Amino acid sequence: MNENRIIQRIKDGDKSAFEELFKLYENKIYNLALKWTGDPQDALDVSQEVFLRVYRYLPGFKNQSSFGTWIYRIAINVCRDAYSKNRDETLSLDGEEEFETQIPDVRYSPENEFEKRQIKEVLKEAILSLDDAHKAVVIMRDINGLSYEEIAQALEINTGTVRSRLARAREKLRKKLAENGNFFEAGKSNNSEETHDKEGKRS
Amino acid sequence: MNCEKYAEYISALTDGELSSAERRELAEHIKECPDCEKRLDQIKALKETLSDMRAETPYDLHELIMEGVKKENAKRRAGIRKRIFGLCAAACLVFAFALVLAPNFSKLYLFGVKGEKSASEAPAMIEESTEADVAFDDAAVFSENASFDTDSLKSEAATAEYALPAAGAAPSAAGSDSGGTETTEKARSYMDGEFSNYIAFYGNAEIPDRFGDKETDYDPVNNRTYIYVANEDYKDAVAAISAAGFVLVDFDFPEPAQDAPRSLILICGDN
Repeated sequence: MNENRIIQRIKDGDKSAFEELFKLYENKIYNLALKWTGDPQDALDVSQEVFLRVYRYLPGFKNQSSFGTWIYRIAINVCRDAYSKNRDETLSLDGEEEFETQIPDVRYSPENEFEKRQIKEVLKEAILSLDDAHKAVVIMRDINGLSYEEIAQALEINTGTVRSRLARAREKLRKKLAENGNFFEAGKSNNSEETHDKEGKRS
Repeated sequence: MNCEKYAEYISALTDGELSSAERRELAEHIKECPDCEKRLDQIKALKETLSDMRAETPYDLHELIMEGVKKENAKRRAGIRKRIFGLCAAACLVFAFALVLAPNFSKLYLFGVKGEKSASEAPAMIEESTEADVAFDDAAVFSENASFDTDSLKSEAATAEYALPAAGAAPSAAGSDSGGTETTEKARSYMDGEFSNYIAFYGNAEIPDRFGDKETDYDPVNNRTYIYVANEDYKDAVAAISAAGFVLVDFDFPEPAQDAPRSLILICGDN
C-alpha cells in the first residue's frame, strides 16, 4: 500500500516523505476541522496542530492501528480539546435559538445556486449545533467518507455504537432542516409527496 | 409503531450497513409507514448535500501546514543547541568546583546508595545500586511514604549529574545524524503516544520487572527502561525512583501533552 511505504521511509529516516504523507490527508483533516469549528482560521489552526503531532510522534508509531485511524483520532482530540461543544451547555441552547431566527422560511428548488448555498449554510449551522459525539460520527462518515469500522477504531467505540449514533445525528439534522425551510418538500428525490405552490406548479 | 428503530435502519441502509434480514424488515415497515418512507428520502437528500460540502480547502493549505512543521524543527534545533552549550558550560564550571568540593559531591549523589564513592567511580556506582535493589522492592517503592519534592530533587541532582559527564551527556546527546535534534528512531517507538510528564533518570536499567505492577518497556539496544504511569502515580513513582538512587538526567523529550492521561519515566543505563 502506497501509504505504508511512505510511512516506512519516514521511519527509516527519510523526512522528505512526510510531505507526501501530509498531502494524502491535508484536505480531509481540514474539512473535518472546518465542519467541526465552523471557522476557516480555526480549522487551519487545528490542521497545523494535527500534522505537528503526526510529525512528532510518527517515528514512534507502532502500527497497532492503521495510520488513517490514528490521524483521525488525533484530529478529533484536537478539535474536542479546543472547540468542545459540551463544555458550555448554554452554548448549545443559544445556538438553537440563533438558528431558528436566522433561517428564513423559503420555498426553493435545489436547482437554484443561491438557494443551494442557503441549504448548505443551514446544514453547516445544524452540524455546529450537534454535541461532540454526534458531530464526530456525522463528519467522519458524510464529510470524510470513513467506514463504520474506521470510525469505530478512531473513536474507540464499537461499530454498533457508530451505527446508532449516526442514525441519531442524522435524525437531528433532518429535523432541523425539515423545521426550517421546506428543504425536503421541494426535493426531486421525494417521491411520496408532491407539493404545489401558489401558482399551481408542481415542485 | 416503533419508528425510532426503523430510523436507525434507514440510516444504516443508506450506508450499506444493513443486514439482509433487517432490510426485509424495513421494506415491510415502509410499505405501511409513509412517515418512514419520507424519512428515507430525506436522509438520502441530506447525505447528498453533505457530500457536496466536502471539498472546501484553501489553496495554500499545504504550504501553511508545512510552515508549522518547519517552525517546530527550527525551535527544536535552537532549543537543543542552547541545551548543549548550557551543558558544556555547566560541566566546565562543575569540574572547576569539583576540585574544591570533591568530598561534598560524593555525598550528594550517593543519597539513597550506601557507602562512600568518589566522583570518578561512575561504573562502580551502577554496581552499587544493585544493593539498592533490595530497597527497591515493589511494595516499598511505590508506597505513600515517599514524599519528595520533585523540583528540589531536580536542582540537587543537577549538580550531581554534571559530575558524571559521560553518563550525563549520553542520553541528551543521543541523536540521529540529522543535526542531533532527536533521539534515535528506535528510542522513539517506546515513547509512542502522548504523555503529560516526561522525566529521565540514570542508573541500572536492566531489570524492568523491578518496577512492580507498572507498565514497562525495555529497549535492549540503548539499555533503557521506559515506565508508563498514570498521572496520579507520577509524583510518587518519581520520588521512589530517586530514593532508590537513580540520578535525574536531561533528555530530549517531545513537548508534553497536557491532556494525556499518562506520564513517562525513562531509566537510562550504560550503553
